[in-house]
Formats: sequence, structure tokens, C-alpha cells
Amino acid sequence: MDIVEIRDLALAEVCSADSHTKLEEARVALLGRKGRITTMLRSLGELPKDQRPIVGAQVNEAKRSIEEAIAIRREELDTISSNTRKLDAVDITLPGRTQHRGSLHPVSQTFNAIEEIFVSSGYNVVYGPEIEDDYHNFEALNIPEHHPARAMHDTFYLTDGMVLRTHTSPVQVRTMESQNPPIRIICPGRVYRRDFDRTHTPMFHQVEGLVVDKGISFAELKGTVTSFIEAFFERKVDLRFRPSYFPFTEPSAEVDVMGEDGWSEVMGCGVVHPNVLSMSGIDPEEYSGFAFGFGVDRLAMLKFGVTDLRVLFDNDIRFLRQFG
Amino acid sequence: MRISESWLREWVDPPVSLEQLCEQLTNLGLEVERTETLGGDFTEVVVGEVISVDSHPQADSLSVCTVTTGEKEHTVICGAPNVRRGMRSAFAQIGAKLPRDVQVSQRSFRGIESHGMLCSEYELGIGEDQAGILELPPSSPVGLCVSEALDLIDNCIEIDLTPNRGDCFSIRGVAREIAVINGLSLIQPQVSSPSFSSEAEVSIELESPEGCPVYLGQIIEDVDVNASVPYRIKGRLNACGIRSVNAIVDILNYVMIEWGQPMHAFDLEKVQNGIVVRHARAREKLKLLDGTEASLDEDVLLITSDGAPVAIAGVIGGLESGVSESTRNVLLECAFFSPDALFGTARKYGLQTDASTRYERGVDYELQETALRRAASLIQEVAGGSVGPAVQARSPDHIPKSNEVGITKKRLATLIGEPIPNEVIRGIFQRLEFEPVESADGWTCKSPSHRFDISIEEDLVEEICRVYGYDNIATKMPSATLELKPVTKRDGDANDLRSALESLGYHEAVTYSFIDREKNSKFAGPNEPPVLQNPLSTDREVMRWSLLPGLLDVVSYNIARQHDHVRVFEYGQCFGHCDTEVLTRERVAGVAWGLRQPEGWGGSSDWVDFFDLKGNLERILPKGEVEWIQSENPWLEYGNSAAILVDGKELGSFGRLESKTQELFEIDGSTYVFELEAKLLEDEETTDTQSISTFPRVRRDLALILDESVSLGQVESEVSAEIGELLTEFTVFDVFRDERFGNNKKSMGIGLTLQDQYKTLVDSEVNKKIESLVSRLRDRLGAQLR
Repeated sequence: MDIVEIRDLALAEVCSADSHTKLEEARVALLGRKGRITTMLRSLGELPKDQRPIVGAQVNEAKRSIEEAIAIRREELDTISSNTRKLDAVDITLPGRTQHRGSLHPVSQTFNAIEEIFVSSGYNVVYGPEIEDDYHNFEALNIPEHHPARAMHDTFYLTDGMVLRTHTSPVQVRTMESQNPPIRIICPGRVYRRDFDRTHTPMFHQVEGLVVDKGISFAELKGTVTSFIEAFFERKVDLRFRPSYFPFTEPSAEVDVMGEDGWSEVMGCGVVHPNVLSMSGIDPEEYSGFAFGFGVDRLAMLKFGVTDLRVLFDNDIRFLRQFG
Repeated sequence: MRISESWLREWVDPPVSLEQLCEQLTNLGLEVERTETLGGDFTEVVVGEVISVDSHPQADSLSVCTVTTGEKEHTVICGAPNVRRGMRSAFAQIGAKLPRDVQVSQRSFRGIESHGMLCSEYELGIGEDQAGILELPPSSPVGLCVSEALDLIDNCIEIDLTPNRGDCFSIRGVAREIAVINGLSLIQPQVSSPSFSSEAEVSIELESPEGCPVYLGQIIEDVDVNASVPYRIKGRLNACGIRSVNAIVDILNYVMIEWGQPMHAFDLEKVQNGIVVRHARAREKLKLLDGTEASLDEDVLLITSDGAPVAIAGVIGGLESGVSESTRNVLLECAFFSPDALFGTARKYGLQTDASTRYERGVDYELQETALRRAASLIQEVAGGSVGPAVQARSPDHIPKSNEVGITKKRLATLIGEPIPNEVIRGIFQRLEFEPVESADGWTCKSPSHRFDISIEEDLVEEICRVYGYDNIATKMPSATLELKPVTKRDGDANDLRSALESLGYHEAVTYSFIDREKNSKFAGPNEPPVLQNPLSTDREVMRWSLLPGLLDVVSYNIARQHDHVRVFEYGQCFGHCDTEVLTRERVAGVAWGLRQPEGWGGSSDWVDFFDLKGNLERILPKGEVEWIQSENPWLEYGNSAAILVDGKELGSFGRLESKTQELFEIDGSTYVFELEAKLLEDEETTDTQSISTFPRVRRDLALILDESVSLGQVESEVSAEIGELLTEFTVFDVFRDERFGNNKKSMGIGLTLQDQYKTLVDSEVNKKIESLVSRLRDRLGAQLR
């Protein structure tokens, strides 16, 4: 058989291999250690000297084209086999076989976002009881019994001089009573006021902050509040500080942010009233401080685009699962 | 508080627009909530003169009138009794729009066409009187728009006053603030004296001078209480939100709004024998102007006459001594009641009046004479009468004094955060009437008689900040030492717990802390809940002992909205009593109702059960020795519930909700609940790491046939007692029942993994252990090998 016939036969064999196993068998039979082509190459030495280069070139040429054919056939077989595999492919759009995820309430998520901002700047997070005594909720905050500001609070009363706290400020008082300045804390929690309409629920959530140190000023209050609001909304916000009145701070301010419908109030703040400091055992001549407080529910509504406050406490799963 | 813009501008008129005026007020701390344009909510209503009045041939109660508007005469049917020839009134032309969606069109009344309508003040929406048509002054120009003729065009400014600024509860007070910010002076209206034409006096005695140190009384005889009040006064009162009553009351209100001094008028006949101001005596009663009867406590300050109360001082008058239509002689009261003496009275009796809100916040204690003069002369002008001399009773020792307040310049700059120029500070103090005195290092100010909120240095800081402008003050960040502290662990734990429950498929709910008493008592047992004295409703009157009632309501709410898979949890404070003290605990609770998994292609369609819940709880338990014991909680189904002990402390309980309890929440289908003490879920210190044995493990499986009553827990404790430390793992690989085993028997397959810390276990040793275990299980639990 001449070399061309051998080659063509070999190529036919390669092309007709219908699996990787058959192709590999063919390769071994042709190009393996004892393969036909290998044997031919090895026996070149037995040829007359003048024929050696001619036959050698032919055999090498045949080897190369067989190698090429094997490579092509291997790729063809790869394609064929992957097409076959698709028959047992999965529907990747079917949901995975795990439990569905629950969700964290938007108010919790907002609390977390706020706490992270303050904690990363060195504030401590402090908690306190929701049923408070009159002293910590009012008197220690410069709201004695016959103070008009009591009327601003719409308090829920329990027996024995206990109330549902109307703000988380009592936690600030408890901290000042037990800790020496410098104080940098935030007090998140539930608070209660006797009020129920589209924009008020009798229970809502607050975060209050307190900084007491030497030389704390109104200007620093402005700076802190401004940078918190911008950190929370993650953008530059048009803010307005407007004089207001709280018995526990002086000067006091309410803070408005500019929204689509004009100014809307987001928090109250001020320089801590000296009576509040001294009642908690801090010398107002030596230290000053500022405090701020805001409704978390309102911030949650702004952050998540909720328009009716009451929806937050309906706990409809269709609403809640959007926050998962 | 509502005030009229035009009235305000009569006192101070800066060259700024209404919008700027409002912004100035807001920036001064008098927050403007909104403004409203007044001027009659009507169109096409002009001054018309009635030139003829004839009775309607078909109806006795109607008149056929001719009304001229100057250009044209109109035939108009009118039903008002007061219509007469020559009168000028408000004529609504065809096409006029009136309040309450009334449109005037040509109409026929018993066969006669009416070309327009004569209007009452009620129909124009400018007053309450609907007995007759509006009577305009004869000087009103015919054809002129009625809102112009009545000077109705005005803006109402609504201010949300903070309780410290009682001084701004009047036109005068607000005007003073506007004057300060614009550097203007107040234009005080000329207060003329009434002409005294009577000698009538009344005696006044101050028995409680600390509550009432100043009381002025003045008699006006022969007044016409029913005199018509000029629209200028009525309109302004209307703009300020005050309803017109009668000439005397309207004028007293007018003076109160203008000056901030509340006043009262008595029918002189009822107080002829003089006035005594004193505190109430036990069991005194007074029938009030609003028709109710008040039982008075001894801390209530009263105005009395002839030994009987005639008014609650500074709050409300008595019904019998009040001015009525038939009153001819009145006694005007103009007093200073101290804020301390009055505070709480109005709230206690639910009688917040315009007077009480002003007195509680502090009325200018030097204002009484001026205000009384203003009122007496206005009354005389409007309602006639002969005015007697003003009688005064004063207790100088009890009249408030001006405070002297000082502050150093250094302190001022420290608290504000930057120094403000001295001349700016001086200007502000001067315009506020603080009479500032400057020294090298500070300022001394005096509080004016209208300010009750200036007594400490911070009050001066506030005034400077407010007038200088909050926006003009620098914005800085506080500097602090960067001390590193351990993370507040507790907070992290609560958040970890929430996230764990979230990933187990639970939605976090937030429910009210006050709940229904009956639902609460199901869970609280005999523990008395803290009870709200003033709940919003009776089904929200006790503080929750457990989070479960709230969550079960949530479950019920969601089932009603067709959910078939409900998983909710809450983390929050719960309350009860420990002896007489209020007990507050933080708890976490959850409810699982519905299918084990949400409907889906790969899941099971089984209902949730005990072990689903237990599996969830095992994921969140703290480290430590956990024991599961029968729960005795009555709200859990016995035999399908457990209490959890961790290191011997009860962490909480869980299981199937007891059926009666479930009915209370109107839930069908088994409901599984858990509630745990959040405090005990916190992990203590990090545990020490155990070294891992490098020697081979040996596994042995046993299939035991046991009585149904034998629990896995019993088996496990026998196993660990017998094998001891060599036991490194214990698993249950199956539990099933079969007839072959007999009644009340079950098969339990357990797998034991043994490993020694120090050597390779040999088979013979393991076999011995297992043999003695098998006999132990047989002896103690009656277990047979299958």
C-alpha cells in the first residue's frame, strides 16, 4: 500500500469514529507507540538512503494531516456530546429548593442604618425601659408638674406615678446620672403619645442623641445634625434650623428638610438646659452639651417611600416582604 | 393662633411681602403653619340699596323689592324680616357664587321672578347671623364690591406658638417681634379714655394675692349689649378665628387679641356686692358658661361675689353672672392671674379657653390699666353706656418683678460656638427692650414685663441666636478623643437574632405594646398587667405581658388576606409586675402557621409541626446545656409543647397553641408559637476550643424497640452515662412504628460515634461497651434490640 492510500484509510477511520473512545482507539492504532504511522516512521531507516528523505517527507505529511483530522473530530464529538447533554438540562428559572427568606421590619432597618452612622463616629448605643417614672420622663428634663410643656406630650399614664415614656430622653438622664463626661450616646427605642391620625400613631420610634463635654456649642450641634442627615440620606440636603422650644434644651431648634412639597420637619434639637445637667449631677459651669431627637418612623417613610404611617404597624406580609 | 395681616401691619409695617413676613416669623421661632386669604368666599356681590319694598301678593312672608346697584334696578324677592326701604345690603347678582356651593340664578317665587338675592352674613360666610339680611352702613357706596365695603380683604396668618412665648399671644406681641427683626418701632394705637359719666364703683378684695395680685374692675351702666358691632371688628375677629357673640364679648375679645390681655364681663346685678378673689372651699360648685357644672377643688382660684363663686379665675365665667341679651349694666374685669396659680386648672376641667392659655403662659403684668381703658372706650363707642371709674386692687409684693440676668462675653461665645460682634448683641438686646448694660467682660439685661422666659444666661443666648438668625451661626463639628471601646455586645446580639429569624423565613412585625385585657390575661396568668389610666380604647388598655397576642392578631389579619404560609416574629419589651414594682423584660416571640413551606414545585405540602419550630429554635439557641422539658403553660397544648432550659435557666417555651386560646384570635388550623427571654439568648463569653482527636472513629448503630412513652432524651442520657467521654456523636436515624413490634411500641434507630482522645479504640473494647449499653437500656428502659 502506498503512503497515500494508508493516509486516506486512516483519515476515513478518524472521521467515522462516533465517540471519544473510538477516536482514541483510532489514534492509538495510527499514532500510538505501536501505531501504523509510528511504525512506518521508525522503519524509514530500513529504506535505501536516497529514498529516505522522500518517503520520510510523505509519512510526516500523512502524520500531520491525521493529527489535524483527529483534533477536528475531537471538537466535533465535543459539540455532539454537549448537545446530547442538554436533554437532561434543568430549568434554571425554577425557584431554588430552600426556605423563603423573611424580612426585617423597615423600622428596624432604619434603626440599624442610623446606629451604624453614629457608632462609626464613636457614639455608644444605650437603651432604657418604656415604662418610666415621672421623674425621668419629665422632672429631670426640666418639665416640673405645672409646666405647660406637659400639655405638648399627650402622655399615657399608668398608676403610681409611672408613664409610658413620651421620648427616649429618660435614657439620656439615666446615662448622665451614671456616667461622667465626655458622653456621646444615642438612645433608640419605642415611645408613646396619645395621638392617632394619618400622621400620628400612639406608639412610634425615636432615636435621641446626647453629647456632653467641655465647650460644646450650638454651632457644633448644627454641624452634627447636618452631617447626620446627609449621611442618612446619602446626599446633600437643603436644611433649615428654626428656633423652637423644648424645656430640656436652650437654645432649641427644629430642623426642616426641603422636600418636594416644601419644608418638612424631621427633628428637634438644642443645647442642653443647665437645669437638666445639674439635676443629673453634671456641673453646667464646666460642661455643656447638645441633644437631638427624631422620629425613626418618619425617616423610614422617607427612606422607603411609604406614604401612610399606619401601614408600618399593619404588618401585612405583602408589605413586609418587600423589605426582605 | 390666627392673626390678621392687616391688623398686624397697623402695628408694624415693614416693607416686605406676606411670604417674607411669614419667613421672618418662622425664623424667629413663631412657626407659621399656613396662611389663608380672606375677603369673602364669594363673587359678584355688591352694595345694593333697597328702593322699594312691597309685600308679595301670594305669600305673606315674602317681599318684592327693588334694589339698585347704581347702574341698574333689579326686582328681588326677599324673605328677611328686616328688609326695608332705604337700607343698604349685600346684593348677589345673577351668576354670583356664594359659599357652600351656592350659585345665584334667576328664580321664580310664587310667580314672580327674582333677579338676584339679598344676603345675610351667614349666606356670605362672614358670620353666623341668618335671621335677616346684612345691614351695611348708609355710607357704603352703592355698587361697590361688598368685600371692599366691609374691608374683608385680608390674610390670616396661623402661628404655632411654643408654650414659652406667651408674650406673642397677641397682635402686639407678634408685632413686637417683627419690629425687632426689621429694626422698626411699634406704632401703638391711640388708646383714648372713655368719658366718665358715672360714679358707680364696686369693691374688690384680694384674698389670694399670690394667685391674683392685680384686679381692676370698671362698671358701665346702660350699655346696649345687642348693639351691632362694626364689621371692622367682626371681620378681624373672624380673621383671628373668633366667633361674634355680642357687643360686649366681641370687644373684650378684640382687646384680648390686640393686646394679649384676657378680660371678663359680669352682669352687674349678680356681683353688686363686690368681688372677692379667693381659692375655692371644699365642695363648692359653679355652673359654667358652657352649661356644665364644675365641682371645685380647693386649689382652684375663684372670683366670688356674695360668698358664691361667679367665675373660675382666668378660665371661664359662671353661667348666671354672665352677660346676656337682657343685661344693662356690666362690670368689666381686667386682672393679672399668676401662671402658677392657674396652671392645671383648665386641663383638669377640660376647659382650655383663650383666656386660660394666655394666663398660663403669662400675661404682661403692667398691661391691665391700658387694656381696660381700651376696652371701656371701645364699648362706649359701640354700645354706649355711662362708664364709672376703674377700681384697682393690687398686692405689690405679689406682682412679678423684672429679672436681672447677666452673661459673660466668653460664655456667650462658647455656647454659640463663635463670637458675635458686640454692637450686634447690643442692638438685639435693645430692640428686645432688655435695657442692656455692657461691661468689659459681659452683659446685664432686665426682663421686660411681657417676658416670662428670661431668667438665666441661656435665655440670653437663645435670644441672641434667634434674632441673629440660626442660619447665620457657624456650622462646626465637635472634636473628640478617639478612644477605642469594646462593641456594645447586646445590640449586636439583638440584631444577629433578628437576622437569624429573617433567614429562617420569619417576617419581623411591630405590634402595639398596649393590648386587650382578656387576650393578655391568657398569657400572663395571674400576673397583673400595668394598666393605662387613659387608653385610646378599651381593647388597648393593658401593657403586654407577652408578644404573642399582638403577633397572633397579625397572623389572623394575614390569614384573612389569603396567605397560606405565615411566619412572623417580634422583638420587644414586655411588662408585668414583680410585687408592686413594674417588671420590664425583653422578649422575642414568633408564630408559624400554614404549610411547612410556601407553595412550590419542590416543597412538601405538609402543615408546619412541632419539629419545624424546634428546628428553627435550635438554630438560635445560645451555647450551653440545653434541656427540653414538658411545658406547663396553659396557653400551649400539653404534649405538643416544651419549655427550654439552658444551663438550668428557663429560656422560654414553644409548641402548639392551645385551642381555646387560638379561638380567641379566630385562627383555624394548628398554630405553633414560641416565646423566649431575649436576655438569656445572649451568648456569654467565647467558649474554649476543644482539641480534636487524631485517632480513628468507630461507629455503631443500634435499632431499639421501645415503649411509646420512652423519649429519645431518656435514651440519650442512658447512652452518655454508659459510654461517657468516648461518645463524640449521637444521632437518631429513624423513628417508626410497625405492627410487628406490638401496640404502643416504636423502633428507634440510633447511631453512636466513639473516639478516644489518646489512643486507637480496639474492637473488643467497643463491643464490651456496646454490650453493657444494650443491657443498661434493657434494664432501665425496657429496650429490645430489633
